[in-house]
Amino acid sequence: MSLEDSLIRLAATGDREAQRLLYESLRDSISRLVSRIVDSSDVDDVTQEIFLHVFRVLGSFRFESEFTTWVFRLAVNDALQHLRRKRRRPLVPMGDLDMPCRSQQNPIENNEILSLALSKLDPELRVILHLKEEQEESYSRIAEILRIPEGTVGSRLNRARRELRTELLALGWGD
Amino acid sequence: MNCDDVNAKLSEFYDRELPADQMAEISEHVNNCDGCTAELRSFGQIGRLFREQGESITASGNWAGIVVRLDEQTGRFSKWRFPRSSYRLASLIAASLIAAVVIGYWAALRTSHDGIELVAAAHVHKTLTRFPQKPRAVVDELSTQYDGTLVSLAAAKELLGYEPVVSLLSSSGYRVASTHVLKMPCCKCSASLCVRQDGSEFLIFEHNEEQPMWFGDSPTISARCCGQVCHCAQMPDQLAVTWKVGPRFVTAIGVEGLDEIARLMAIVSLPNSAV
Repeated sequence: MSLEDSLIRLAATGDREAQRLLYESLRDSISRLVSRIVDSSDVDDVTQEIFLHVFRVLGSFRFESEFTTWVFRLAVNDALQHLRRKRRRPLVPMGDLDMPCRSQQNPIENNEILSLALSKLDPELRVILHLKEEQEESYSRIAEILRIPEGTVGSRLNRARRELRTELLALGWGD
Repeated sequence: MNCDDVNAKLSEFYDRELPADQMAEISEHVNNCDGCTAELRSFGQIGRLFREQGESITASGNWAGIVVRLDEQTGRFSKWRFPRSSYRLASLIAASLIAAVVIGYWAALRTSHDGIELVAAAHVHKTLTRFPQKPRAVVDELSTQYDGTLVSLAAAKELLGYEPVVSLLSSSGYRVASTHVLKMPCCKCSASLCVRQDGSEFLIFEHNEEQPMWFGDSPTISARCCGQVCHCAQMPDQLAVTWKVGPRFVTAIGVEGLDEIARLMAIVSLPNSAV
């Protein structure tokens, strides 16, 4: 039995130190994944809920897939679920929003432009881009996490990259 | 293969997820097609954009908040009542047996060296969080746990093979109250309880390997001071800092503020102090 397996079994019994070690090893990657799906103001809360969910159902993990694949799958589902719930709530009227404005002297930075462009994509396209471009996962693992056929990964990535490029260009990328 | 065929598989080609024969076929087409070359180049530019931003994303987290919620869910802090019925007694026995199995399991885990280091680091963190309230008790606890030996600085030099950097503090208004040599799973290290002029105390470790887990999930920042990078952590009721001095790492617990961090770093990083 590997050290990770032992840690998972121990965490499933409720051992706080084992749970903390798992949390620390996964916190950054889960937080980054969540930040690609939900609003930045919700990232911490949703990440916390995901870990609570993980520890609540850890006993049902059967060691048939990699642990991180299992956690990622759960995280994607929970974050998308959060988004669906939020969309059902009434929107803030546009007039109430305090939008920052930018001058020509203060152009959008590349990291802002990417976040803005991503925010315009369908959440499922954001997730697959994150898994490939930032987590550098293989197609087989992406398929496992998202529970889609491996052949669909390539076509969905094609769509995601092309839609992202369109949004980036609309925001002045590469000017 | 025409452009439509290639475009349908362009991501798989870009990500090198196709069999060798198809990779070669698409490569040949792309090399002779400006449109597909431009499309492929845009995929590469998007990839670079992600990589650039990836370095700027910082994750935050709140383990303490999760523990509170977990404890609420499991009722860990519900009021204890003495068992009044045989049913409760049976529950207590069952709980004891489960605890024994868990402890046995934990003990088995500890046989792995990595596991021992992880457990030790987690234990040190837990102990250090109590330092502001009971500094001397924390030193005693660490000494008991890690087979500590109370030594003079000269004796520490013999045991460790180097003179602890705290020997430099005495000429700068601090006093070294005690030094223990601890046998940690990672290495043999020194832990010196230091006293300020106002009588308050802080702890300085000198160790061979970096120990980020000693800070647990406390918010940490990296800063440059005296030409060196240090990592400062806001632990409950105290600041902690770690930085490299020569071939080893120095970690100070119970530091009062950034001014004191700068002062300590300046003192113990004097030329020829660390090697």
